[in-house]
Amino acid sequence: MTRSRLGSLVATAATALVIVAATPAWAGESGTTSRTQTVGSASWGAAGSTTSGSPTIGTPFTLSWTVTVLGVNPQFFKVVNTGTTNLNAETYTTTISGGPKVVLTACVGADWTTVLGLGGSCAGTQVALGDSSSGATAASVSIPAGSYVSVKAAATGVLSLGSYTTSISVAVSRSQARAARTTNS
Amino acid sequence: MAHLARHADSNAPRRTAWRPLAVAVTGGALLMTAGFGVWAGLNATAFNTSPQSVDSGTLSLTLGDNGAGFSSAISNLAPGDVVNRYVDLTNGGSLDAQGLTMSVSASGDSQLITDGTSPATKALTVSVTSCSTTWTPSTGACTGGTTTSLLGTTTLSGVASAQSLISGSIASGAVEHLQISMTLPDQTETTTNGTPITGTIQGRSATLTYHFQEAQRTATTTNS
Repeated sequence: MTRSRLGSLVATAATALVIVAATPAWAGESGTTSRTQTVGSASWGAAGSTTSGSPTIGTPFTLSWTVTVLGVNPQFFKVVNTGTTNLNAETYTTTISGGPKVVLTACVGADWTTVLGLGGSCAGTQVALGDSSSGATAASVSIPAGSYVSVKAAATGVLSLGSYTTSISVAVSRSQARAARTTNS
Repeated sequence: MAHLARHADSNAPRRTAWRPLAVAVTGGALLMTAGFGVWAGLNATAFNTSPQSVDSGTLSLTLGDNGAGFSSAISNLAPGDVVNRYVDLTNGGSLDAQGLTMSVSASGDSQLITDGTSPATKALTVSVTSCSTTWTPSTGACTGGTTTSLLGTTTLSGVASAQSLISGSIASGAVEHLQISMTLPDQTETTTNGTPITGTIQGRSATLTYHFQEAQRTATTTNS
């Protein structure tokens, strides 16, 4: 048997196998119907932002401090829900190289307000978000999708003169976003 | 007299030339007459005075939404979420059917279609349950009826080829009340500073096309 003839036989056998495999188990007429549907998944996350700007996606939010003999005023910023689901909690990590200890406090239900840049008042509920000496701190602060929470950063402790930068990282795990649910519709 | 005889003798060859032709024509005429006589006898016929009607059966499978069904998109699905949608499949032809199957063609973000691991633990899964009465879409209740699992939790890649829902007979006019459950398996992902992990399941989209198919009943031979 020549090589070309052998090849032809193999091709014929393969074609027959394909036809047999493609033949439906039920012969005769068949009825079909189809419909298309789109499915999209949610996202969850949060990031720091200035009070009037956009969140710093992908990098920690930073605050710069200049400690003078007059001390240093607190600073205010927002933590924005960057996802599409409501958040029940977030994990905050605040770091600073040298300088004072920085304490974060959220004002839930209202924005921090200041008078002449001093202190700050919260008409809502204050929730501690940890500080620069406590490492990662999980805080149960609810932030609805499309919303934010107002945060005050205050320098405390012994204040050494100089300039410092605080880095604030916000992490959101799946368990800190809304719980899974079953819907019927 | 002798002259006449000579004259007759001189015409003899001419008579013998046309005589066979005349005989053949005459004989053929006789045969044709005899032949027609055989077929010209009596004939008897029978037929149905009322024409018999023969119709072919029809096989028709139609899909209707019960509630949102497939017409409304599923959005903002978080890991662990289950979305139940309801559709009615009607075997609307005149023939009974058998072998109802379902397959799903998926396109879009691969993270929702296949997570590349086995067994799949991240991508979407689908299951099908029937209700002997009617599903109530708003509650997911099968009031007064019984539920039957037609397809257990299966990955989309597992339903890329047709999967059997009902292997037996489906009567003409029967309606199958189906609950299609779409699940995004629970999983852990942490988003840092608004940026999800590489290969995240978040913010993904896929387009799913559900195909339902049934076959005609087995062909039969009837005597009546």
